[in-house]
Amino acid sequence: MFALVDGNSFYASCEQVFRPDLIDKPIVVLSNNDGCVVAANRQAKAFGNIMYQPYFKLEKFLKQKDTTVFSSNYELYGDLSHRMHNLLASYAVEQEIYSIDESFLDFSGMRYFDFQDYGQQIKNAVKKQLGLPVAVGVGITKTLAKAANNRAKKLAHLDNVLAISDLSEQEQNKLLAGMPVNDVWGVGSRWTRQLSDLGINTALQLKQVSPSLIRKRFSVVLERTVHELNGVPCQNLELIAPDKKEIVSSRAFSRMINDKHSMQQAVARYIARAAEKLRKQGSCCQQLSVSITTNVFKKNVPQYHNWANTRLITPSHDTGLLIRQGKQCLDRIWKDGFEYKKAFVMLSNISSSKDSVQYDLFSTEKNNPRTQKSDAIMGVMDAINTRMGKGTCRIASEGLRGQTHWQMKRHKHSPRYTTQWKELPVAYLK
Amino acid sequence: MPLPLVGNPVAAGFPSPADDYIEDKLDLNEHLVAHPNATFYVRVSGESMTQAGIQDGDTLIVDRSLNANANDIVIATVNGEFTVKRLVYRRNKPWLQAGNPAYPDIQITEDMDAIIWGVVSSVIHSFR
Repeated sequence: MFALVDGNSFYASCEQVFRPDLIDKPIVVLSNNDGCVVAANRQAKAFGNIMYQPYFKLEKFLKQKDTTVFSSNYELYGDLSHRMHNLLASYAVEQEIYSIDESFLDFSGMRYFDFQDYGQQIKNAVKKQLGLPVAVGVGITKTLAKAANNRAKKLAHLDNVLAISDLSEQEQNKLLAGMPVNDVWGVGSRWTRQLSDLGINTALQLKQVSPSLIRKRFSVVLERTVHELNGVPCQNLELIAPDKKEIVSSRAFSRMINDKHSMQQAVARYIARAAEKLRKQGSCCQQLSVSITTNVFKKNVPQYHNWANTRLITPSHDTGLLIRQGKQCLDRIWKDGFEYKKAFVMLSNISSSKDSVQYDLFSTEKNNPRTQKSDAIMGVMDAINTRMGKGTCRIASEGLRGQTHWQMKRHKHSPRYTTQWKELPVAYLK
Repeated sequence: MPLPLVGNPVAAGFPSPADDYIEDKLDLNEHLVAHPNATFYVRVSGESMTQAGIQDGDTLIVDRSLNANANDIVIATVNGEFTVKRLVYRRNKPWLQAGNPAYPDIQITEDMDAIIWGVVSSVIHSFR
C-alpha cells in the first residue's frame, strides 16, 4: 500500500503561513527573475488562466484584483519542505521524497487499517503543525496513489483525502472514469494524443485496455502504468535518490550583458552554485561546459550563440579551480558587440569523491586539485554559507553582493522567516 | 552544530584522567525544542507582558504540535496580525487574555485552530 502526499499550491501556501492577513486572499508566486507566475493559491487560480503567464502581462490585472505577489523565496520553501517531509516520514515504514512538495509513503505491513482515516490524520497533522494544506491519496500501487491524490484534490466533496483502496472495484472504476487520461502519472501530452486516437480518454479506459497492445503501440513504461492501474505493483519506492549525472546552472540575466567583465562574474557565480551542489552530493566532476547566448526572441538585434568545454586532468570539486577553467572557456567564445541574455554552465563526467582517482603523473602539488587544502577550504566555505546565508563567502571573481547589476531580480521577496534570525516573524504584545 | 568531545588523541603527554568520563556537550536544542519540525521562532514587539515574563525584543519558541491548554501562552492571529496572548477559560468558554490591561480580552467563538497559531513553550530573554 502506498500514499502520495503533496502540498496544495505549495509555494503560495508557504507564503501564507506567516501572513495571517492573507488568509483567504489571492496570492501568486513568481519564477526566478520575477518572470512568470509559477504558483497561485485557490483564490488566484479562480481568476482563470494565469499559471505560467509572464508577469508583465498580468501585473495590472493582479493589482486590480488586490492579489499579493511574491518573488520565489526558496530559503523559506526549502525549509518548510524539509519539515513537511520529516513529519510525513513518521507516518510510514519508508518514504520516497519525490519533489519539493511530494512524498510517497510505503504502508506495507500495515493491514486492517482504515486508510481513509489515516490519510485524514496525516492531512490534519501537517495543517496544524506547519500550517500547510496537503492532499493525500492512498492506493495499492504508486500509480493508484497518484490517481487517488488527483481525485482527492479535484473533487471537492473528498476534501483532499482519498484512500481508493478502501473502495469497491465498482466505486474505484467510477472515480477513474471521471479522470482524464493525461492526469494519469507518467502520461504526457504526446501519449495523451496518441491514446485519444485509440479512443482512450479516461484513466478507466487505460486501465481496461490490453497491456500487450499498449506495449506494442507505446512502450513498456506505459504497459507498467496499465498494470499499476489494475492494482499490480510494478514500482517500489526509490529510497536513495540517484546522484545527478550532470549539474546545470543557468539563468537569464535581469539586464542584458554586453561587457566581458560582467559575463565573467556571472559565469563564475553559476560555476560556484554548481560546484556547491556537486560537493553536497559528495562528487567531483571532470568536465565543464560554458555557453553564452543573446536574446533569440529579439529578432531585430544581432544574434550570437557559442559554447566551449574543457576537461580536467583530475576530477575536482574546487570552486576556485573550476572558475579558472570556466574563465578560459569564456575567453575562447566571447565576442564583443552583442547583447547577451543568458549564460549556461554544466558540470559533467561526475564521479564520487571517494572513488580512487588516478593522479596525473606530472601534476605538482600546486595544480593537483584534490589536495587536502582545497577540501578544507571548500568545507569551510560551505559551512559558512549554510549558516550565514548563500553567497556570504565567495570567490572574488563572482563579484560583490549588490554590485552585480545582472543578477536575479527578487523585488517582492518575503522574509526568510525560518532560516535567518534577523528575519523572524513578529508578534505584537497587545 | 556542537561537536562531540573526542578522547585525547595526542600520543605524547599524559592521558587525561577524565577520558573515561567523556559525555556529549549540552545542547540547548535538546533542552528547549521537543518537536523540531513543528517549532518556529517568533520575535516579540511592543509593551511588555510582564505577568508572563515576556518583554519587547524577546524571542519566543513556538511549538505548533502542542494542543493549547488553559493558561498557556499562545501566538494567536487577531485582525490579520500575530499577537501574544494567554489562553484562559471563563465559564468553560475560551478567551484570549491580553498581557496589558490597556487591551481588551477576546472571546474565541469560531474555529479555535484558525486563531491559535501555536503554543509558546519558552521565551529567550537576553540581558545584554
